[in-house]
Amino acid sequence: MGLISHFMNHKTLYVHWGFIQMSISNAIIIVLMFGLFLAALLLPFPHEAKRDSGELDQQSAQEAGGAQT
Amino acid sequence: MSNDLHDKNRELWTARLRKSWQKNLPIEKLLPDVQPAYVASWIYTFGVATLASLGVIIFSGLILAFEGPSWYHLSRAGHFVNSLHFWSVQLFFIFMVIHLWGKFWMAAWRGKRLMTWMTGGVAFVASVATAFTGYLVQTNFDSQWISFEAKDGFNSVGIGAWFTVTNLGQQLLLHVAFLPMILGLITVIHVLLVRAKGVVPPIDAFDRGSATTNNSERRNP
Repeated sequence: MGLISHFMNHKTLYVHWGFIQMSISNAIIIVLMFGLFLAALLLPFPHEAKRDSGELDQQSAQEAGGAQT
Repeated sequence: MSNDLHDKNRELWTARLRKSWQKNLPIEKLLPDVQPAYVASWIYTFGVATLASLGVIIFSGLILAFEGPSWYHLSRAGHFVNSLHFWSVQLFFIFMVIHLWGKFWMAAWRGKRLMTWMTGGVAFVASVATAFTGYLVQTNFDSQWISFEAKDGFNSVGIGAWFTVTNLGQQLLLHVAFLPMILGLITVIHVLLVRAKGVVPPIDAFDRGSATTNNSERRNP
């Protein structure tokens, strides 16, 4: 918290890249969003334990590719 | 004229709407408990994360509306709910933009899903407008600064006379009534279209010959 309050209580810093100018805060958010996007693509998704097969509508399951999420 | 055609012409709009709804969005599609295998990926979770954020925004916004500016400016609980409203908006946009990236790169308009894509785009624009009016109704120096900077922009394109960013009453009513209503309506239509058309499969799903959701997808990949 000390670091955040120190960061937020000072004059805004800007990054300059050619004609692009944005605050450090916005740059950090954009980098985090790219990181979250890549993580969503690359990290494996935990599979839910399959329910009893009797509860499933077999036809729907086959049509859907046979997996539950 | 046959009897069938005669009967069809005599149907009320309610009957036509019911039959169309039952044909395109039966209850099994509206409330599914099984999804295609390819949906087991984190990238497919950002749509519902956006909806969850919207739920927190609406709930915290209702509390702010009932308690009023003096409460959310001066009390600790008010500060908390005000911050909850603000940060849930930030998460809403982060999740929505990542959802947009994911859907763009998987060309989510395939398989007769163009309306789903377009309603998502309109929902994004409506969200920007709603968030902008939110910044204008904070009733602090920040909102004063933003409105006085923005008025020149709106005046320069000729709409400042009826969309007056320095008119707090107008902006407050737009923020808490008109724009949420529009955004909510588009969101409901967007979700219903997702249910009706199914979640879009990955682009290479057909090459693998495994992941399809319905017959129209097979015919029109």
